[in-house]
Amino acid sequence: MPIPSRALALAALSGLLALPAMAHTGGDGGGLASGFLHPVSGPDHVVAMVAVGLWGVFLGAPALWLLPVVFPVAMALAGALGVAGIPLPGVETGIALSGVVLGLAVLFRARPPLWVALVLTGLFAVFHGHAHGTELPGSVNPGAYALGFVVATGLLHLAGIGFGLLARWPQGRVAVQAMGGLIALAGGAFLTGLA
Amino acid sequence: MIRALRLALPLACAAGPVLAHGTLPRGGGFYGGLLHPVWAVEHLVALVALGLLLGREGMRAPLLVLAAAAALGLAVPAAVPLAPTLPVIAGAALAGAALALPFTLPGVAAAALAALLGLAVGADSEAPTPLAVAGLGTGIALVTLNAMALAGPLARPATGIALRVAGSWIAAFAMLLTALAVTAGRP
Repeated sequence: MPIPSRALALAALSGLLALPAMAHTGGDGGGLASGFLHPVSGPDHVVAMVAVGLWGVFLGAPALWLLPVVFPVAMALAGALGVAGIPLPGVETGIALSGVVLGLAVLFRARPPLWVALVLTGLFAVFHGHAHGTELPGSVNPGAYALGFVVATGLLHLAGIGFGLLARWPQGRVAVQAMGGLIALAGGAFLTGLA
Repeated sequence: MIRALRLALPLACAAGPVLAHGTLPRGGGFYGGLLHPVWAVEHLVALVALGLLLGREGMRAPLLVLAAAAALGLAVPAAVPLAPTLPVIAGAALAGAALALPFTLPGVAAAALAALLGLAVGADSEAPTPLAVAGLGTGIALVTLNAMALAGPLARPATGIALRVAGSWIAAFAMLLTALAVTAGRP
């Protein structure tokens, strides 16, 4: 599987460099920090975002970069619905299901046609985005909150791609697939209300 | 590794400077003008997106369009018929989308984008004194040129991915800002 390893290494490193910037804001009750923390502090969001990055590595180029490009845009479109107060049924179920499906895709190294992967990822992005967007208008600084959650989501993708780099080695591939299995289990726990 | 650092910088740049650092000097001084494009997050993101785009495409001429349009927008805010923040956000969305898509932007489109952003940023800024005008011009130039300088070395297939991802983040952010502006009734 051809992996643009340099690009991957760069992307992972950039994630590391971008993170510490968040330390500058305190508890501002609805600005950049809380927007950033929304995807990071919800385990259901975290596992699904990481799974997007992991799956991208197994899918290879161009999915590797198409998934992290499509996801934020689909997420923002649904976020706009959330901001406008347009309800979307089954948001929490969709989010938990995204962990299950994406985790299983990583576990079994699923290689569907590109458009299937994109549609699936975009569909799940809708649920995540709507959940974030619903909380936006109540924030003290909604613009900063929006930036925070877009950046945090992207960095979680990068974290997944970074971990997925391990798949270049046989043992690492097992570790990445195992991570997919754990993500699917976590998603199942969220789905059934066990966690 | 050097390349890795080059890639990291625009992302860190796009993510970082928006952080609130408390009360900033506002009003008529040089620093009030200088900090306006950084303080107003939609201006910052829009100019960073334009800079990354121009840097990737290796275009310099649209910078002159940006400067002229910003001066016009500042001098004649009525040149922007809408409330000017929305065109700034729209410009950020367009520049972000152009970064994310795997197409080369025609020079005319880049110039039109620079004109739109310049007009909107100028009309949406306040610079009541000549010093503030100088500061504002410096701030707009610094943000845009830094982004351009960072994007230039990334404009190759492997590292260009980072620019596309950054573009999608910017487009996503701008879409959310649009939704907020429209629903809040204060476009």
